[in-house]
Amino acid sequence: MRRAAVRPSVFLLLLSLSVAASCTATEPPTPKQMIAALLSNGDVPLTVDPSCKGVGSGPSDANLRDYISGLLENFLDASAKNSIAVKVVPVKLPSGERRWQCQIEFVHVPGEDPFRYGVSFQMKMNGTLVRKSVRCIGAG
Amino acid sequence: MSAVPERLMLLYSRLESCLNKHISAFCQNGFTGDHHNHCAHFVSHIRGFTFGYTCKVAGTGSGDAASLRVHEVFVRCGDAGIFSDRPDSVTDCLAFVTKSSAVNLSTRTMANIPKKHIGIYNLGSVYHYSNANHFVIKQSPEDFSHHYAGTGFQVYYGTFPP
Repeated sequence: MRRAAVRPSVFLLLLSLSVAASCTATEPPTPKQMIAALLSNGDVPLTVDPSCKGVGSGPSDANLRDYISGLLENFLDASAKNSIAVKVVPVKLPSGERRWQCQIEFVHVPGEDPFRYGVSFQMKMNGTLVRKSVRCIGAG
Repeated sequence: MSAVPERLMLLYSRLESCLNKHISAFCQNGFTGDHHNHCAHFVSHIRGFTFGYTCKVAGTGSGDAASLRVHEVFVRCGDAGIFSDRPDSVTDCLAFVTKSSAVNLSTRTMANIPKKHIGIYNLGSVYHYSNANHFVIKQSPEDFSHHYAGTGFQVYYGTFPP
């Protein structure tokens, strides 16, 4: 008798878990997907935002490809501490559209002064990088 | 011996009060992590530089803005040159140390390379943020010139941007 009374509760629990699962937000992009999106948009000009002005390692750097290449070139110094830091958080636009706010930093520490530059950008839920959202981040 | 101008004494007092302080003592924007480079950040909070990429944009945006990038400060200096060649009229100024190959004095530009550092020179000392110690220190210009090991480095002066 008692077992029979429990069964509907278990059913309801499973049903509610199923509904909750179906409402779970889309999984965030993996670091690999974020890096791939960045690389495939290497032609975004450094004029995309004031934060990217003069951010390249050379005066002729004109786009993200040039900028990122310069940051990766720093990694040739194997005596430095080199790593890539990635962060992603969900954001909701005023229009209600949901996106991923992504950040990729190429961390190079050749001595006591860290050189931590990179890019932040938004990705749509379908994985498309929003080119106008590109910002160049970093200090020092 | 002539008296030290009041302007230099005021700057001296301000800089001396900064010694041994963490960047969080100056920045109210939350951009204070020790994993970041704060040399230009410190200088900009002290001198009120708000151009280019700032801690207000990079951080929470709740406090005064301060520029974060050495090369963005350099390009805005009124005058710049080799530190040891600075005119007698330049009594207090910015001090930069970086690879000479990264600097073009004719165009007043500095490439965004990893090894570049900035401080404030006043009354014989360079005050700068030590990213290794995570607080403000002061050094002689000679010691400041050895901030980076190796060859090819040069110390530059830059008059304060307006």
